[in-house]
Amino acid sequence: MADTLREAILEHHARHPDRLYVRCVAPDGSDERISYGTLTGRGSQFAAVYTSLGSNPGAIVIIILPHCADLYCAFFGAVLGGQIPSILAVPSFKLNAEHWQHELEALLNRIDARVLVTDTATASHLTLTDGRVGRASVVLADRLEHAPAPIPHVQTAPADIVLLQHSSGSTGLKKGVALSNRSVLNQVEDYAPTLHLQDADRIASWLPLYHDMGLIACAVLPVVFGVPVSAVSPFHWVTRPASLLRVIHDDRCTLAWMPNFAYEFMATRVRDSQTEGVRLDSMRGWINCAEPTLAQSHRDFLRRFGPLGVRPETLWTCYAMAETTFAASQSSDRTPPRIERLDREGFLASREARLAPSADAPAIETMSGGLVLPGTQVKIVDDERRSLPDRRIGEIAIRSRSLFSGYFKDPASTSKVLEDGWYYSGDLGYLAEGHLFITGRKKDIIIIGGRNYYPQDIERIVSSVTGIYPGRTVALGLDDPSIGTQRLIVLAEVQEAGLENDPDVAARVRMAVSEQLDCAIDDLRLLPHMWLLKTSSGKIARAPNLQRYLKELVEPTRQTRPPA
Amino acid sequence: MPTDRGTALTAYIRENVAKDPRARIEVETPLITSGLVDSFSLVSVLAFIEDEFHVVIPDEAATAEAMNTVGLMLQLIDTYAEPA
Repeated sequence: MADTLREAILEHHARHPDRLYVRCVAPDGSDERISYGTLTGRGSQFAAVYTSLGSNPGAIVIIILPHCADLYCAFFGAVLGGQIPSILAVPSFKLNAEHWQHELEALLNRIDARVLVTDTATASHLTLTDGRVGRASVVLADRLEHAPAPIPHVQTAPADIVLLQHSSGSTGLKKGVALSNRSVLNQVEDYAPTLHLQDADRIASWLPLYHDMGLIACAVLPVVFGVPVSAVSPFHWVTRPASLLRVIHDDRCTLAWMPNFAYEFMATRVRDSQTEGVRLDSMRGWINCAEPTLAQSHRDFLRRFGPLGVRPETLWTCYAMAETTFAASQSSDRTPPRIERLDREGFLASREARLAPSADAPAIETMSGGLVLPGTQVKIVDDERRSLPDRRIGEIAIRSRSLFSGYFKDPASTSKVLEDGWYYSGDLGYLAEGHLFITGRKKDIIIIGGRNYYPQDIERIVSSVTGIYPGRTVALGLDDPSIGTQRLIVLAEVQEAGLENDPDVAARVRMAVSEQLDCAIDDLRLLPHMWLLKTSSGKIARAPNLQRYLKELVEPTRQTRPPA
Repeated sequence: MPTDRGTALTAYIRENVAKDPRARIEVETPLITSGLVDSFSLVSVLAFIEDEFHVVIPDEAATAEAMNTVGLMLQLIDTYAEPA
């Protein structure tokens, strides 16, 4: 095994330059194919451009490109040149350009990025000063004529940071998860055997690469092991989810990672007319990851796609996060995810995962994220970070040989979550016979469709809207099993009586959140001043207001399971 | 003037996919940029267009940007409708 990601790529380049790495399928059915030869040649060209702009080894390169061959080449080009790449989301057309520029500039300056790789269309939303945004020189990938360059000569070491993964949230809250060559290679080395990864595998993906699931599972793991990927863009998939199934059929794909909501989304939204002639028998693993996994979503997926060849033993689960590079646990056909029915009272009241005494007793269903990976240790701890025994619910702490090096240039945030080599995840769960179950979250984070949002980001944006009482807003994530993910609830107090029913205030709130965070509020409630509950310390807390919302504002039939 | 198709489409969006059932939806009302409709709901709108108007919008044309208002959707429908 190579010592650095750069070496791993170069080994494939030397052994089989013509081997396919990624096939990017466009909505019109056309495609771009990247071989290891192309990846290295075009990637080295990018690396030469970065260097010519004064970006030395160890410098940060930010990449904002739509899903295309150059996204991979610009990213791994930085790796070949010893620079540190990080992919950010292409702004959705709904984002406010001025706001985006402001946020982007602040981020680029904070991490001292010297190069921003994007394309003409995206750059048209930016105001450049001398070809730069902040101190970062802008490289337009679509203007860079293909001229493969020789592989740059640089020294990289296992302990060097090889890439940054930026978490979700606004600039102020976005943290760069710094990963070393060693951690990344340890991760894929430990992870591949749990998937029984083999040369004959082929990965299908619609995932964005700015997220760990897309980047590590569907770009880095395959580049290290030489497994080809067939990719459709996330923007294409969201309006035409059948596109993924067509690609699986055409390329005989075997593995795919998706967040839980995608199972429900595809089961309910893919039409028979869109899957004519499609067979999914080639798939040996559908890996549910990135948000709480529900057994019901697997059952719905199986009912819908079983007739096309999806088999129950191919529905796997994974627990992963950027801070451990990616996976901490995984199930497969050999160690299937375990499904349990827990005693409801024990679960809610005493944080114990006792099995329900009978089939008709009130129960909560959980599904495991599989067995903890080799090279990884997991412990469950209480609020004082003391270890808890099996079947007690507490915070999940992880120690592994693929742990991150820290949040980039943010030692204060790092020291909050890293202690004595253990990463405290903020997720709640329990262990039982080696299986890790995830049951909820200690930290306030809302996950919608696998994307993370910080409630404080949403609250800040809503608070700044004219007509809303500043500082008197809560943003809440409510589990909704019917869609397999959370719904975004916003409760906001208005500044003057009567504004509760003002459609313009509501419209401004929705627009502000959509423009700045690219997400839609599912249920917005404008409330009279002093409606929101405060804690004894005078703080507006989210949990009691969620309870009040469920009790007073939601009809009982529409209520879903309260979060544990 | 909203057309029959426009009326039917608007009613479908208001009743099935809009996040705020009270919101006014006119032909030019932004749906996605306003946060009134999320991009995940566009699949349902495309299915409605297929079933009601027998028009299939090709994948490359069915983007969120091209479906931001009822007016834009009507243009797409006109573009891809089979000539009578």
